[in-house]
Amino acid sequence: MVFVVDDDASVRRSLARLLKSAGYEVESFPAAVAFLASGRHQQCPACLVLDLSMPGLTGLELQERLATLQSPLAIVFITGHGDIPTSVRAMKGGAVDFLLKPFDDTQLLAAVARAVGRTRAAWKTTAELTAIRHRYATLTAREQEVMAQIVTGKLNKQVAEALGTVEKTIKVHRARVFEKMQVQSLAELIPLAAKLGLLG
Amino acid sequence: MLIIHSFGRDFAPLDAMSSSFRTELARQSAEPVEFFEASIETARFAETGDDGPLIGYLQTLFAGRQLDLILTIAEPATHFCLRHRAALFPDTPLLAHVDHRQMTLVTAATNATIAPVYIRIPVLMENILQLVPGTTNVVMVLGASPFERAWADQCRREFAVFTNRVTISYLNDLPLAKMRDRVATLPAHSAVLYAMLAVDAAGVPHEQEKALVSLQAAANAPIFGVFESQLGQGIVGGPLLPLEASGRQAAQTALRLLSGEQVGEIAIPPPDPVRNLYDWRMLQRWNINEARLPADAEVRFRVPTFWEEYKWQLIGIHALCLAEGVLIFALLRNRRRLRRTRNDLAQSEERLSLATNYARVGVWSWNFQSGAIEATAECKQLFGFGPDEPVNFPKFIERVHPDDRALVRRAVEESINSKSAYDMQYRIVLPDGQLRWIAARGRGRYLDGLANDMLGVVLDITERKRVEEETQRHRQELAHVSRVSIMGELSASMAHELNQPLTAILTNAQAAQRFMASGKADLDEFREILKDIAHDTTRARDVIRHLRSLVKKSAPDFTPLDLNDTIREVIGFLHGDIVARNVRVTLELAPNLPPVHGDRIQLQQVTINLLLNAFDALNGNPVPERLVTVATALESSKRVRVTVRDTGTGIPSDKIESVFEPFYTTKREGMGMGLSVTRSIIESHEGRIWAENDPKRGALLHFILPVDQAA
Repeated sequence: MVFVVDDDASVRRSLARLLKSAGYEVESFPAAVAFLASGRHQQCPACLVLDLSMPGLTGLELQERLATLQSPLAIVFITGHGDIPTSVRAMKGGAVDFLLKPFDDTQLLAAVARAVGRTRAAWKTTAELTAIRHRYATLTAREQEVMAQIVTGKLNKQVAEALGTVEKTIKVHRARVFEKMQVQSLAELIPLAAKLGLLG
Repeated sequence: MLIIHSFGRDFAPLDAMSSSFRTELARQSAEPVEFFEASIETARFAETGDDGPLIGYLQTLFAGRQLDLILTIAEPATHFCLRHRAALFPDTPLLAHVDHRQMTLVTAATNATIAPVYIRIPVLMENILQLVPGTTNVVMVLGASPFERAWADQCRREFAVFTNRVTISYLNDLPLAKMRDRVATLPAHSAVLYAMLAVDAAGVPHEQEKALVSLQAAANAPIFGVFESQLGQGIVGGPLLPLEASGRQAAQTALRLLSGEQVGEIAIPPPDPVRNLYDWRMLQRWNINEARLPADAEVRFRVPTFWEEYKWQLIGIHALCLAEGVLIFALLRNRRRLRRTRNDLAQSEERLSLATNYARVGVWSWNFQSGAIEATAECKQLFGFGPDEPVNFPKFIERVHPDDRALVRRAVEESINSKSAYDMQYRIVLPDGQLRWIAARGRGRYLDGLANDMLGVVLDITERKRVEEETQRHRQELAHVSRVSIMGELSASMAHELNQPLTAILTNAQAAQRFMASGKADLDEFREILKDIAHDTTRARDVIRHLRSLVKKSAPDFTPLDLNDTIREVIGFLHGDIVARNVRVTLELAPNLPPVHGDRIQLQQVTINLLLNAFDALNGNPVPERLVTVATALESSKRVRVTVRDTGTGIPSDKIESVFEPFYTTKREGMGMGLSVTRSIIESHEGRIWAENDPKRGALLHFILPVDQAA
């Protein structure tokens, strides 16, 4: 799925055709505000072909909004007249490409393909994290405490001391954590803890 | 009753007292009064006479008769009666009509009272000195009788205070003839004070005021008197004693005594007020200024002046003289003016000739009857006619440039029909092919409403036209250079406006290729694609045309122009800039705006300049506050106004006037020619442009253009 936002109707229509010819589904919007209002920014797999200079909300401003909305959509900027400061700002904001009008179809399609890929990757990351969070949420408060201790590499005995209990109880909690977080070893658990932000 | 006189009943001034007494008493008395009169004739004589015979006479006269009242007039009679009071009817009341100085004497006597005469002496001299201040010599006229000598002595006493200012001499010892000689030869600064002259030194009695009249005829100095009765007899006047009033006063007392009142019961009357009386003729004769008279002065015997007497005759005569004078003056002036007019005319002709020569102005007149056009030498020379060559309208119109002939004919016809002047410019072609520009002015003259002839002037303005055209060309070139330089500033707009259609075209074409390659050829889709490509190509072409028109050098083409359209075109053209600069432009265009007369390209240039300036003014603003408004309005039925408003920082107030000056700029890039060229364009459109600051925020630039006349 490709979303096209450009204030020029001709440009919008021609882009829709080109993207369709490459097999994409296309939805076009005449202004940034119209796109935001559609609520399509969480869609995946997809990408956004965005005109830089538009009346009202500009391309760069839409980019910033999407970032705050944690949208996974990757953006390909197109512009009638580019200057270096603007393009730098766009790329730093995470744009996949910055194309000067008029551009070749191959340029655009390549950029769009990359963008879709990046969106998918981003989306996948997001999906994984969501799953991990779900699993973590099934732990009891004591189990979460134990998990926070063991991912730092502490032995059961040390954990028991720190939490004011006996080594035997810790062993039981550790087994429950491994089970609920769906891991076999400490080595598997540590990356998950990292993604959850438990490693500070 | 018995009246006893001092000299005789007709001696002045005492006669005034006795006669007014008699008249008043007779008038007032309820019963008839019988008067007996006697005179102390001996009073006239220097040597004292024997009173016996008179006493005897009176006693005889009143033996067996009842005498009710005795009146004595003046001192001699009074003294006589007092002296013989016991012999002369002591039971009959005695009324002494005499100077108040005798009051004690009289009132001390038996059955006697006084009707006083208040003779005041020093005021007489004061009066003289007041009226004739330089007086140093006064001669006093009094007679030689003992009574008069006594008064002279009294005067000497009372005038003593004046002796260091005035020399006073007394003429008691002179007979009248000598007195006359004396008063006729008085030295300068002299005056005569005439009291009375009953008997002169020669023993001659003088009744009434004959002596006074005689003296005043001879006197070479003013004569002053003492009594009111003397006024009109030759005295100048002064605080005169009203003896007649005293007489009347005495009559009042007499009446009371006759009615039986006792002398002790009757109060002694106070003095009558002295009146300041003057004889106008004497004032004139002795050249005494009336201003010196006291405030309550009464001037008598005023002779009407010549003016007063002949007032209307004089006015008539003067009016006649005046009228004639005016007439003569007017005639003289007229003659002078005529002469001057002739001079002026000659001078004016000379000046005109000089001026026309110098300015190369031709003067002509065209007689409609004969058809002939009379023209000055300059005029003929201007049109390439010989000095003696006759000219008429066909010959004239032949010289006019073929393109301007219809124009000239129409102007002349309209001028004659509307009876108004025509004012125009046209070209003429001389026989040698030389082209000249002529400014012409003329107007018809009418007799009885019919056009009789036409007068006019022509002026060679070829050089002026050449300069004008050159200026115009320079102005156009400047405008052009300025337009080209705008292109640099418009790079964003140009790129955007061209790139949009190009992008669409390219993308469409490549999409079509892909559809074909993939074998998913859909004819409807292709048709749509080709239609879009054609449309975008046209769009690109229009942008390029527009650019070319701005950059191209072309003569201005003035046509009726809708400013709203011009503004919309420019906004479209600047779309790229508007977007790139994040400016919001609002249009407030008046509907049904009448077209202006203008050159489309130049007015677009104006609008572009104003918009770009507004955009530049917004550079420092945050994006939501970058607002520009373009408004049009019908200022009046004849003018349209365009306003470009921004929300920038405004123009520094001291620069409001100078923003239109060349090389005025606030930008780092740019020559500062934009607004200067803008003003030059607006002015060549007969419009006006000015800047002002919005009190709230930002600047306003207005321009006004005249509505197209043909519309």
